[in-house]
Amino acid sequence: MRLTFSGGVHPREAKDATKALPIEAFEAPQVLVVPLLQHIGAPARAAVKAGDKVAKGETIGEPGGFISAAVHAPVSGTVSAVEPRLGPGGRKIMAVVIENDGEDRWADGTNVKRDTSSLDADTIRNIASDAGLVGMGGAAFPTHVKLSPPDNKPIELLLVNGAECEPFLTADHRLMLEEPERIAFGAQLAARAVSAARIIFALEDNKPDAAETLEKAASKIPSATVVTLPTRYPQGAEKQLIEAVTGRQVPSGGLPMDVGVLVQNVGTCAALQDACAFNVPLIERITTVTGPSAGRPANLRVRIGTLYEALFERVGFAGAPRRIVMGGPMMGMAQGSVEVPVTKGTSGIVLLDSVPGDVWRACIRCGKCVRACPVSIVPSQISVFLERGYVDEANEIDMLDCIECGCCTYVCPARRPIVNWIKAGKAELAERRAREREGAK
Amino acid sequence: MSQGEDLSRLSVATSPHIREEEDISAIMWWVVAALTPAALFGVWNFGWYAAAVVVVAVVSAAVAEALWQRICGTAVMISDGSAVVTGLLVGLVLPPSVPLYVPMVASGVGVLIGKQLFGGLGCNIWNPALVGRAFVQIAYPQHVTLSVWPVLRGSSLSRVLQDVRHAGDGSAAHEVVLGATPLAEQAVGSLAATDGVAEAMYPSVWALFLGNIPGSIGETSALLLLIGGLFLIWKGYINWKVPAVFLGTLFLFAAFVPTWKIPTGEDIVAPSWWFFGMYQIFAGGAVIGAFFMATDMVTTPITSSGQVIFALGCALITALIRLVGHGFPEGVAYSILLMNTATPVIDRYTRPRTYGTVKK
Repeated sequence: MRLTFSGGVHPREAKDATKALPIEAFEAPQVLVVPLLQHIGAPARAAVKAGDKVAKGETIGEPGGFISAAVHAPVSGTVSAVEPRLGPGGRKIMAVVIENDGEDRWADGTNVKRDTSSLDADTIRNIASDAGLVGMGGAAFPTHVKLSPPDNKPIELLLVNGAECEPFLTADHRLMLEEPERIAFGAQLAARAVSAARIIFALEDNKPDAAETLEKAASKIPSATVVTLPTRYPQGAEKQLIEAVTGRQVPSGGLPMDVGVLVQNVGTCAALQDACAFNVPLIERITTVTGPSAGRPANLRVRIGTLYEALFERVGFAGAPRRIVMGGPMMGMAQGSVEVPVTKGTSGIVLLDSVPGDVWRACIRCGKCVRACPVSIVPSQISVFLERGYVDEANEIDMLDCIECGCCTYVCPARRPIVNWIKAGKAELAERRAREREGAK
Repeated sequence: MSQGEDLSRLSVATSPHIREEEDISAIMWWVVAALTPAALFGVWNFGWYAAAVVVVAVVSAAVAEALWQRICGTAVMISDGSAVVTGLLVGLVLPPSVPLYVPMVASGVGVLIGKQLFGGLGCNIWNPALVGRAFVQIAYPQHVTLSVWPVLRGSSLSRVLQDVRHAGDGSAAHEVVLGATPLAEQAVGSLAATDGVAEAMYPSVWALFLGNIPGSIGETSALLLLIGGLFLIWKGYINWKVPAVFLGTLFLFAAFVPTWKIPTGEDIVAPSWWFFGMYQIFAGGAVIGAFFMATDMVTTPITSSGQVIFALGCALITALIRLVGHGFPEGVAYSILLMNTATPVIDRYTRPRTYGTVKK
């Protein structure tokens, strides 16, 4: 049986530039800008103020609620400011600016070995929360929340996501190749936290070498298997991965736990093992800096809070980039500045030398978007509605089920900014509903 | 920056940041390419005047489009090839004997009334080429009806084919070919042949397939239309199910349903179901319609299941017009136009089941 989901596209993979390059450590820069909001949910509250000395791994931001994540100092040094700074979302967000003292002095109690064999589910969740873990595939949803399914939603399967279906990115690929033990170890802890009986490591068939290393690591876990999926974007999208591997569809508006599945990115699993086995919080990650305008593309292990400009000094340019994208080219966010910090969700930084035009035409109903849509909505019709401002009509034909993967827009021969309209349509609907709730009070 | 690159002009927009190369004009020009073999064959089959008809149709469509867009003050888009496709289809579905103002009017009406009045490419309800074709059929019936189909030229291929077929009965090869098409005769129920064998009166099925027969300029060679159509299927522009269902249904309907059309008598041998079915597919506009018009992106359903329903409807309406209706031999154009009208309804009821939902 061929494991796959319906729809999807296959853009040029463009991973050759970096897939064979070992992960290199990128030295922490002089100044780091650590945003207090790097995740989905409430911002963290600053736990330090300007002038404070901080040690590496020290908590500098406390979770601002249940759906929130702690933030830690990626280096030792002095807090020079707690102030709004430009984040990868294009807006200024509260950030802790740290002057690096170059000593990399760990905070007390961090970076010490811990016996994980006795850790129970609650403890693992607490460790994940304390370590500021978030999904590292890009969406950055707080991990401890995903590890806390309600009792009426038992998790049967942990799916470890190594699909890395976005073009250009190879950070997960290198991690699977070089540190599969970290992933496997962390996956076992995640499975324990949710009492999942099975673990499946899933990746695309364009990474056969990584499949081999994972296979080796997984062979030591009795309940674990590795599955190789066809290379097809968005294979790594949660719902599509679940459909491909299990044949189940997450109900519309629901979560993976509704079908008994928990999905964790390989990087998140590795970070969970660091947190549990060494009490090391999430202060660094692997990010692929690449693209046609990148001089010497690389897979870098980077401290959170490192500004892009510091990375570019190392990587260099091959001509002026026209667009700098945080994440992959299909779903990543374009950056208007190089003074943006690497965050927990920065899976890659892609420097593009050309950008799509902004002239679109009427839909010619070619149907390419319908065939490409992995959630089987009709993007063409939704776009025709939204182009004219008919948000309700678009909503009636399942606009809200859109996962914003961008396949429709990628294939559209009329160059229609379909997913852009859908994002705006969803925002308008949400705003209107919020207003209605206000009015009802 | 240390590298001295200019980073002040970073472009910011929402994802995705890459696009597939293929745009509208690529699709349109590949459709033109797919029609070209059949068009060239039409010129070879019918002579240079046929080329003039096609050229006038194409140029008229492009000029009408450009004029309209100029007058409306919008960007002139003739380079996207869509008007060329319309003009080419108009030319190919006209008989080679029409006065040159006929393709001009057909293309003009098709582009202006059939497409631009609705808002241009993508907004039209009916296939523009067929709107033009239907208009001139009504406006100039004397030029466009089937009774004035020209007789085949005695070209080498046709001579060979017919020589083979008539070997033994001594009839001069290329003189047997008819004034009225086989379809016309079927429609009025006069298929019975004087010499007792109906099939002998007509070109062989093989000749129909190759296209060495009378008919509209571009619709005679099923072989070349098939090659063009397969190319479009390979490119992913058209759904193979549309021509398969259209032609398959038409064949079945013709082969097995309308036996009442054939007069019986002791001296008459009715044509075989195979012959009858193949004639419905290959002698007329069914092939060009099934591959190039019932698959028009703008005016046909967007989902595969909707397209199958569309093709089925086209085939049944064509069969009804041709075999049950009286006096009107060709039904492909009207069947597609009628089904175009039903497209929004079909779309509404064939929307795919959204991921994670239960079909209502």
